[in-house]
Amino acid sequence: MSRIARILGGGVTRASDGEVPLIGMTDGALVRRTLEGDARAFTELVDRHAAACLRFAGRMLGDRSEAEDVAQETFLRAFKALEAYDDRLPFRTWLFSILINRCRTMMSQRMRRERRVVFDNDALERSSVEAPQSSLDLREELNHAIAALSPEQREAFLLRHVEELSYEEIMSVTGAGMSALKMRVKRACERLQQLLTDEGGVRR
Amino acid sequence: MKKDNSWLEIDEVVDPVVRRAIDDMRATKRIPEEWRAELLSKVPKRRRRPTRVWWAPVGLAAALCLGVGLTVVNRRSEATITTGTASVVRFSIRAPAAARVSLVGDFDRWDPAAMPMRRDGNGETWMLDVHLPPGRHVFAYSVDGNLETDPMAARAVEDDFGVPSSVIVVASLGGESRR
Repeated sequence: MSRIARILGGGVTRASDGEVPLIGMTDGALVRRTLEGDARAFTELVDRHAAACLRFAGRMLGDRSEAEDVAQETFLRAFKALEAYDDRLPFRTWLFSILINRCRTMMSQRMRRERRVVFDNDALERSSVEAPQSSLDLREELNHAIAALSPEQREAFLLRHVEELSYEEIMSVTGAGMSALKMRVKRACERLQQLLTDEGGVRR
Repeated sequence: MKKDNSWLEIDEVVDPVVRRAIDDMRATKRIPEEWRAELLSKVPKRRRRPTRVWWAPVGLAAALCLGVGLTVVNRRSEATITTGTASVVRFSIRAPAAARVSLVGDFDRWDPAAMPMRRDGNGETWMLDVHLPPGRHVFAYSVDGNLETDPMAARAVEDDFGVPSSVIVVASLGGESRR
């Protein structure tokens, strides 16, 4: 008798998919289970990453409706392209590469329509936790300051400091070089500092 | 003259006002329930994907001749290694008395819940096909909570830390994998 048989010697029950808890699984494992037909696994991926996607899109686009459309489209495109996902890259980084492209496309469509970025208070409310009244002034200034950045600076700043991607990851999802990215982040920080400390400067 | 890139190293120093703004933006928590429900309603059903397995050289001849996978009945466990572009690895372990067996390793952060194995037709062997990227992977089998190494694979030096584990090396494109 094998060592295992001696150790175990108990009854046999067949493992089933329904018994497998998804919480605690790596994103890579969830992707594999999704590809194997486990719908719960993709739902878990949505629950893990939707907040970040909505947050990023909301800040990039400044429009709640557009941000929600872009985030949904991102997940649906990711689902269709899941076979191509290489788990040497973090799933969130791969997802953001899709999200960034959708945001860029949305912004270019908006420019073609000659619409300027309009700040949507409802979108910001969605992307923020409840805040005491005393912090609302700061939040309003912050929202306008973020919207005042160039799209490239805003994108690099949000990815680095809010979503906390490494510069290597940002390079892979934006296609920009390291020096350019660091310059954009640095200038975004300087611009935000200027806007947030110069009272009334962003609401002229 | 060497270019001064010192500014590249200091961009992480953020003014307290900006830092406060960053903390505020990071505090996102809510996913709109109606948005989530609408998204999930749009996700198409995915049919169970057939598993593609390329057998290791040792089993290739038999697989080609018989059209079926090679089964070595007197082995307690085996890991069949992929060669070529598709890194599908078949892990199997004979544990007829086990109630639960799962594959754990550095590819699933040693999470016993991540990769449960399934019994094959004879009811004695547990199997799992896993997509693995090229490279060295340390793994073990969790048999009813007890970690077991693969006797056909090399032992990992990580054994020094008290965790019994084996090693599999998945080859890159066109290469040959080995344990």
